[in-house]
Amino acid sequence: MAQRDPRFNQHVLVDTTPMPDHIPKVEEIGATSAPLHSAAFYIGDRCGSFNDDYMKCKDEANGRGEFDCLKEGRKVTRCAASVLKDINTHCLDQFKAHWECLENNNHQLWECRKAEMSLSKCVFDKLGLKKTLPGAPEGQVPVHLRPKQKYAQYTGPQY
Amino acid sequence: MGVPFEALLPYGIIIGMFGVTGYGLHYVKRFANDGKKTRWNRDLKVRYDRIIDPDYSNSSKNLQTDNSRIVMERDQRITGAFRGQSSNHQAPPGFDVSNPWKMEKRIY
Repeated sequence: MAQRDPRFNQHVLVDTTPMPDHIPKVEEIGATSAPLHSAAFYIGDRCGSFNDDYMKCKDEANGRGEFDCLKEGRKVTRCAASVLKDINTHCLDQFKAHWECLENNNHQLWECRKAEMSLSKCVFDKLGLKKTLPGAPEGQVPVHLRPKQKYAQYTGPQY
Repeated sequence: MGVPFEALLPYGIIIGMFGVTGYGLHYVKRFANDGKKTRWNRDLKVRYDRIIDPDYSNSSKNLQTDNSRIVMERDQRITGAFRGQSSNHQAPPGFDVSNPWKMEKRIY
């Protein structure tokens, strides 16, 4: 029978069996949604090639990606953890200001451009990581660098 | 002949009750969200089925629009609070085996 995802589940099963020993261990990332969202573009800058590698592996694995791409997946996890560790070490105040702003504003990046600018500056100075928007149109100021944010609660100059 | 002030009392009560509703909802929502502003459109219901479903996760469009939603319950597993946040790079011990599987009665 084909696998069917549960739709109207009444309870959940937490299986505490750890991974078998022949699979190398990797520390899971402990950052939650708002810090991950805040650090996403810096993680993408440092780890883009690992992430692309993992997605390519999954594309070519014919649905067995969870098993065949464990090695690539560990690289993705370790790289993202390294970025988070570096940001926590060097830019903790700016990082915290930004993700707390995101958490209080429904995770909408355009509400927090001021905190984002100071975080971007610190991350670029200390770590050399730069936020770039993939697929942004050429010859325009990217949306995260515009001083006016059309959809923000305060639409005037953000910084 | 002026209108006696007793005639306007019910309107005062009605308008006052709008305020009670507004402030009351404000405090109730803040209380339910651990003192933070409430989140909307960050749905708890779209979770595991979208991660597991290969058709869904292979489509890059859906990944772009929805990947901020599937981590909301993960937040609770890491921090233990509904709106808790943490920026640690290492998960707490036991996190890697605490991922729940949805279960349902078998349908014959």
